[in-house]
Amino acid sequence: MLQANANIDLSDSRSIAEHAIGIGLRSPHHQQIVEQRPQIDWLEVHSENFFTEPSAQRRVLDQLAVHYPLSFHGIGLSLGSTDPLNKKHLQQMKALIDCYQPALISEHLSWSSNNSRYFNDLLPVPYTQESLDIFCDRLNQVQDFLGRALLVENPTTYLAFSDSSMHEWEFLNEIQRRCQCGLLLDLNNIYVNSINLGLDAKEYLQQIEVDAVQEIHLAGFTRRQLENGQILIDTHGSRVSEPVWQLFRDFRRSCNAPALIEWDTDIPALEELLSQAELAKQQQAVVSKEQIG
Amino acid sequence: MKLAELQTKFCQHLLHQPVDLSALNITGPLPVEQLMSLYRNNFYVSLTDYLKGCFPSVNALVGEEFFAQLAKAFIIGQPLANANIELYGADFSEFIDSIEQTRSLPYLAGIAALDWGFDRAKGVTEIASFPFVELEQLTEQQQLQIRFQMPAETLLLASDYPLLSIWQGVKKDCLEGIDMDLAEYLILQPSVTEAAVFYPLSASQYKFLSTISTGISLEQLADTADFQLHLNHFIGNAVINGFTAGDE
Repeated sequence: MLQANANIDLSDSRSIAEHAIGIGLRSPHHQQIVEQRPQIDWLEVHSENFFTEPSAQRRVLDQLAVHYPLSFHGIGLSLGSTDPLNKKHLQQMKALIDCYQPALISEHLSWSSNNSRYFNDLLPVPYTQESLDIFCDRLNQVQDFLGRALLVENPTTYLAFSDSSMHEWEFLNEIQRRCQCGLLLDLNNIYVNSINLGLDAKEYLQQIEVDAVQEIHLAGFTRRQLENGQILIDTHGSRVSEPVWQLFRDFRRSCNAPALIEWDTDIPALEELLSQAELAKQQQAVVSKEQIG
Repeated sequence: MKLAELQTKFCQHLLHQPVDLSALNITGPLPVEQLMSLYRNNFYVSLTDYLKGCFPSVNALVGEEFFAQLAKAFIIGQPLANANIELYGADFSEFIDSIEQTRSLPYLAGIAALDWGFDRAKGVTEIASFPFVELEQLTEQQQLQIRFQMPAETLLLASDYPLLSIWQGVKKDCLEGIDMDLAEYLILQPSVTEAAVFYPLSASQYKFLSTISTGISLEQLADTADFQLHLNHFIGNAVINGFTAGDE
């Protein structure tokens, strides 16, 4: 069995093809994927779950890195926070990246820490000039430290700040322009925000800097009835909904970036994830046919 | 409002501290309190679920509702100090021991310690064998200065209650017939084949291993009762699996 940090042959791991469809690697599926090695274009992992070494998780990653291109998706850098960057976290991230050389590295347009206390959530950023300056400054520091560009993912937010002075897509485009980073576009987040906050999904997809989008996320949401109305919650705990598939088909006409099926709660059997990935391939095949026709 | 102030107030609200939410200039489809409660609930629910996963026996003993209250008090009192959640919960046993509400279950803190020890042991993937060859290469004087080691995530527990019986009873959903007045010494160690193994210890064995865990030298250890007997037994059973030289 391979040991963590052994000489892993990563020759196929450093790029993810256009139109490739991946799935999020979750611990209930580790063993099955290692043993069966299903046909998946690429895998995405939550970086923080693999910081500890040696560990059972790292052994799994050692084995899978040989066979699948990888993407590292972080949830803990807290780029939108006014706290100082967590150097220990960054060092752990760099060590992980140096070990596996993932094709993509991504983080969120959000914050999760305040006064050194973490909140285990992706909290909303007001889209102001001050937030933009802070976010870009921190992202530049991170990219300098890692020696690589990150992708920044658009968030789900359940509220907006009336102090915001720009649209979310303007904020993301400006981050991209200033930091020369890539973008990760989560189409489920755009849909959820469009229903909850009245954001115009079509305009979003038209306005976002499409050439900078290097990854697409597809996921499911949950509808929750509250006292004063209904709200969609970005649970990543169900199949991709038809409106999100529609956004995917629309966006595929202009963007070839690899896409990922993300499922984080109520995790189903691996077969269900694989069938969602297959469905994603069918959706993009429909678009390709239309474009040829 | 400056971003730093906004984020501080946002977090104060998550932690149930009084905040004037109107100052945050929040808009959305629902009243501000309800929108903020989505974030607040997510914060507590996600960490409570995580703690439940680390402390399944505690959860089974006290029930979901009380566990949620325990977890919430712990979350408020013990900040998550790192984005990597992995070590969060290390102080949960100590916390349980410190609060009034768990006095009627005096063994609960010990069960939490066992749950945590088991959870940590599961993550250990490599356990070294005792390096007899390296030991033989040392001079007699050097040997006297070595300090024995046990595998990472080894847990020694002394309790006035039969923790292991209770812990195993919870797993089998049967706590009947357990003599709750039975004091217990035990050791939990990671195992490559079974995630973790447990051994009951005698008082003398517990004292011996506790002494080793303080990092004293072989020369000093030799003064403890039944030294040779214990040493042979624990090296033979891979409870002691290594040593460091005196100057390390």
